[in-house]
Amino acid sequence: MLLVRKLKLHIGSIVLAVLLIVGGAVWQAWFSHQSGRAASGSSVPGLIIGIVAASIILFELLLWPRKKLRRWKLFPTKYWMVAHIWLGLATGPLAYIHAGYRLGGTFSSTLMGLLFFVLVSGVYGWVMQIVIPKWMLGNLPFETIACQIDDVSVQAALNARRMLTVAYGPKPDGLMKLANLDAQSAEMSGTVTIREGQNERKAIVIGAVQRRDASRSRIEINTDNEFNAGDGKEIWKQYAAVIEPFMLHGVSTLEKAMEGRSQKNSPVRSRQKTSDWFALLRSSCSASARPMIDRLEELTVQRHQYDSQRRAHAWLHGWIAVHASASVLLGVLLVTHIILALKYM
Amino acid sequence: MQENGRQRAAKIDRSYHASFDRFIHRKRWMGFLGLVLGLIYSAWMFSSKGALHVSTGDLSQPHFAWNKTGCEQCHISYVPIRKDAWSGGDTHNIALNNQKCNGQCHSVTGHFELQTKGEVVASESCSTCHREHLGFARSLVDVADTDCVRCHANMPAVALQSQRTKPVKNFSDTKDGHPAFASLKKDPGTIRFSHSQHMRPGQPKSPGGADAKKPEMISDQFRDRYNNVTEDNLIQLQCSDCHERDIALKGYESLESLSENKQESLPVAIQSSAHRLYQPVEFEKHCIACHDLDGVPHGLNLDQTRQAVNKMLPVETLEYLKNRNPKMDAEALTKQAMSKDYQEEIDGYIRRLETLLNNGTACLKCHQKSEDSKSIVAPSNIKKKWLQDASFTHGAHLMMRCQECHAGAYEKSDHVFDWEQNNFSENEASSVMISGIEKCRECHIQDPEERSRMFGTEKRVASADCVDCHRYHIDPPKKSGGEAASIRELHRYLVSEKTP
Repeated sequence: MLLVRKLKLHIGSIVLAVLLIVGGAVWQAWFSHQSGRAASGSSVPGLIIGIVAASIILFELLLWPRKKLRRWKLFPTKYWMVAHIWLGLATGPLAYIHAGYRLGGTFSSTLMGLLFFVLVSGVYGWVMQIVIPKWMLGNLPFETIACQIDDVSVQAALNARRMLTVAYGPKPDGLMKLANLDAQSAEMSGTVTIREGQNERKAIVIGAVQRRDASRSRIEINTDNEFNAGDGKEIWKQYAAVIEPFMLHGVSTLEKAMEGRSQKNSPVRSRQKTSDWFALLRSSCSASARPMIDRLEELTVQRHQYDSQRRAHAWLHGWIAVHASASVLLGVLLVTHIILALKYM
Repeated sequence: MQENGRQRAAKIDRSYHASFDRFIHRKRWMGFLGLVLGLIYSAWMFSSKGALHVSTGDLSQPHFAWNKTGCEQCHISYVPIRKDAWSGGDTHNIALNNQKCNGQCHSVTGHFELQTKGEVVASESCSTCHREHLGFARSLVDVADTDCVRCHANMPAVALQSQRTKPVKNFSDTKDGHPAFASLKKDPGTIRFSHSQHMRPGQPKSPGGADAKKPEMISDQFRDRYNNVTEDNLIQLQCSDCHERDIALKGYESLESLSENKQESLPVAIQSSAHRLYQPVEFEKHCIACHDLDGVPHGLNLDQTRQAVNKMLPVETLEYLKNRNPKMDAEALTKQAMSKDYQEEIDGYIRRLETLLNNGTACLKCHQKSEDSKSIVAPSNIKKKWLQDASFTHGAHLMMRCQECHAGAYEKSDHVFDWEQNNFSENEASSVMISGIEKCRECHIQDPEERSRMFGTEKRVASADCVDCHRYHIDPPKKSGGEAASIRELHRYLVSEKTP
């Protein structure tokens, strides 16, 4: 669908890729017919097609330095990406034509297999880049910057605390202790902790510093409500035991599990369980607590979405490391292949 | 109430892009890992062991040991070995590569240098036809048809004086197909022999003739050999009575004895490239049982025959005298044998013998008279090998009955050979009783798919490749007795040529 919508952008590269493949195949076939034997990579057409394929692979690899040199404004990224996709896809058939439709020895087979793997990983990434953002747009309304999920969660937790404090007063004694969020709060509010060896001291940063102070967030509480003190104790209790740990850490990940903050047994660990659990909480509180509980459920759902976003991000960007690694390996082996092929042609 | 975008943005660190991103971090590390792995593998590739990974396949059996000794045994660095490679067609490069084979290890003649244009000879490299790296079992002389057709499709373009101007591109019967076998056009032999008479029970001159032979009519020493008799106790000859294999195939001695009417199963799976031809028929071995020469040796010229008869006569004379005078002692017998009267009698016998030799009732029964006064008969000219430019192998065709290709030899004929008039039927002695290329084409079908479908066999069975019959590198042709030479034969030929 995306391709159809952006056909104008893609068509040039598609045509070029198809021309290269068809032209190469026809030339190779004609040469084979003329010489009476299947043309190899060392034949004139084979060599030229190989040079074209190698040049495209080099161009593909230039995407990395191009990113580093983005300030030079070397053509818009969309053109690079379109050429990267279609010319990159053309390298597979071109390499196969170059090799005379054979895999050859162990090394050239490895090279061909690696190229195939790079192409497959690239196509997989391309599909991910189309499917996942679209899915996220429709399913994750609370989506935020992925690397800011922990910060945003801390801010949400601080806001929730303020909201409960305003409504029901400070957390009653004897309940589960809340996490210490002072350090994160200070960092977000622009106060930086500088570490010098074992000594720590507070410092004031001069200049424009963005303050993301949760205390400056706007909280809307309907003061017409009469907040029941009994509800307050129950809500604070559940907040400290279940809601805030989940808001801060989300669904258990390996990282969190290693830190001993696993939430895999949390009663709100899934969307369904969250709904059931909050329904139970509502039933145990008076009607006046409902807006407060709704807001807390919303924050829990938000955390669920952050977790989903994190997983989606892993699918969306995880392949790049594999694709890039295989591409670099392919690039290095390609140079070796060129030298050895010229040596034993 | 949900937050709006502005509120959400307020929670984001504006310098988030400078913060740690595990995906970028992983990408860098994995990229670095790819670089390191690539460099390690590349470094290994330039070692002698690593070079094996460049090889596109194992070398063939003769060169197999070089799989582990490095590419430089055959390859010259940065000089293309393939003719179709970039600059591989350069004659200088071809000569360099050919020197790696020819001169160092092999000693092979060129490409019909006396008959081929110089520029064509210079442009042919060994590796073009003898393709390597196709595995241990791959024969280097299994040259692809396309390599033969490169020249045979247009012989005038490559040959200095080509008599074969017709293009040959395949084995089919199309206009570009293989021509009829030239060496089967005419039988150069001079022996008058009737296959139909000899295949009749008892070998009478006419069917049912009274002169049909029974085992008791031949000498005792031959009765075991010719023990195949009909219900009428007449000797029935079989192919193997006269045609013996060059190499004995144990367990398959009676293949040639299978009659056309019997439905014995043939050893379809058995093939032997060792058994190529049948040995020439020998008079002393295959004919003498019926055609006794009264002790006169066969195959000699006139003088040799006289000398042999001279040596033979005294012995026979003494026996004769001894029988006539049983009481005479040896000394008296010898004296009488040496007497003038008896010598005249002997001379008269020799004159009669010469008369017999010359008037056609003895040697000339089968032979033709020699134009040379020293010889009694003309050379028989029986071909040892009929397909002069090909290497037909009987052993590869054990699944076929003799009559399938030699139907003429089994032809039922009522023709009576008239010895006095010396008249043969059309196909008695002068016809070539070997089926032509049409018979070969019944099984050897060009298209392997069609062949496989037709016979239900594997595609390689009964192929129709040029190298199934032909070999190369014989220049001038037929120097080795018309044998289509293998490399070993060729080597022997070359060594014998060089040896004074």
